Amino acid sequence: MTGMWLALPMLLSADAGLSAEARDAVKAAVVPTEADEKWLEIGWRANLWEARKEAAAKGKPILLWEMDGHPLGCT
Amino acid sequence: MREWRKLPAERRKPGAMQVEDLDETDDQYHRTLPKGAQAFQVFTRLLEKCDDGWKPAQCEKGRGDQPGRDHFWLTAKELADLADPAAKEGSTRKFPKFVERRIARFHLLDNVRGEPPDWDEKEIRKFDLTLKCKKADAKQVVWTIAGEALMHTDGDDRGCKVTLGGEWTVDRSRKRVVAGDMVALGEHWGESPLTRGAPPGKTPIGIVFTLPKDEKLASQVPPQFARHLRYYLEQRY
Repeated sequence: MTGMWLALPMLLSADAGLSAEARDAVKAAVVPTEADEKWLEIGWRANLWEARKEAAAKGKPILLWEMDGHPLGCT
Repeated sequence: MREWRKLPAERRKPGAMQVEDLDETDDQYHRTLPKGAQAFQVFTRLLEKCDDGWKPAQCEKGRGDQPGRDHFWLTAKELADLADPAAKEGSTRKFPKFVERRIARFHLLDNVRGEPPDWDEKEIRKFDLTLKCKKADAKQVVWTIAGEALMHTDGDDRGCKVTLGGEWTVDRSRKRVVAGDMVALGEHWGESPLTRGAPPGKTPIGIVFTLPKDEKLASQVPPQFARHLRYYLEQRY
């Protein structure tokens, strides 16, 4: 219990929000790394109809990644 | 690609296929960033404490140790509010009510294993977020953001309690957030029909609202709860 009380001041800033240190620690754990985001190097098109027009004009196939939700957004 | 190559060459030639322009689109399925609005990325993870801070929590279900991904939109009017010409060092303000509700209802939740329901208005038990001007000059306003939020169902079988903090730099002439982020850290408990497999009890959760690396791409993907844009922006149909 003592440990919990000691930890609190490190997390909270003077204005009762998260301190800059706490924010940095959370960001380091939450935000995907560059390696995690490798798949974003692919030039995904978010608009299927525009992708169809582009693929037809260039004579290219479409790799369609779809799901319940948005692959580039929420799960 | 094998199947593609089996098609007759004349069908694979550039321009061989014609795709007509769409006469009209259903707004419910084609939701676009309103003019002058700004898109942020929102990442969410369940966390575990470790020696040097936090690490993603292990998850027994699928890829539940991966971040939940979403987008957060601020409208042109809301951004103009943040560029507040009256802001000066030490002055404070709140987000407009719609923004507070948008953050609480649609973004402070556990979406790492699937799609949770948004928090109902009455499930927001506390939301207190204050912006304090750290610095202001003719070009920019720097806001520090601090506060707390608590949401839970009537039976408290699902909830989220977080402390928020952040710093946003707003370009006054462009009326854009040009630097900074906002972070929520706290705990989440419970699950919903599409987010089964939550760890038992209360689990640390971290949520980061950040500027996208690829603004164009981020701007094309609507927030999860923007199935009806007005509902997302103003919480009404």
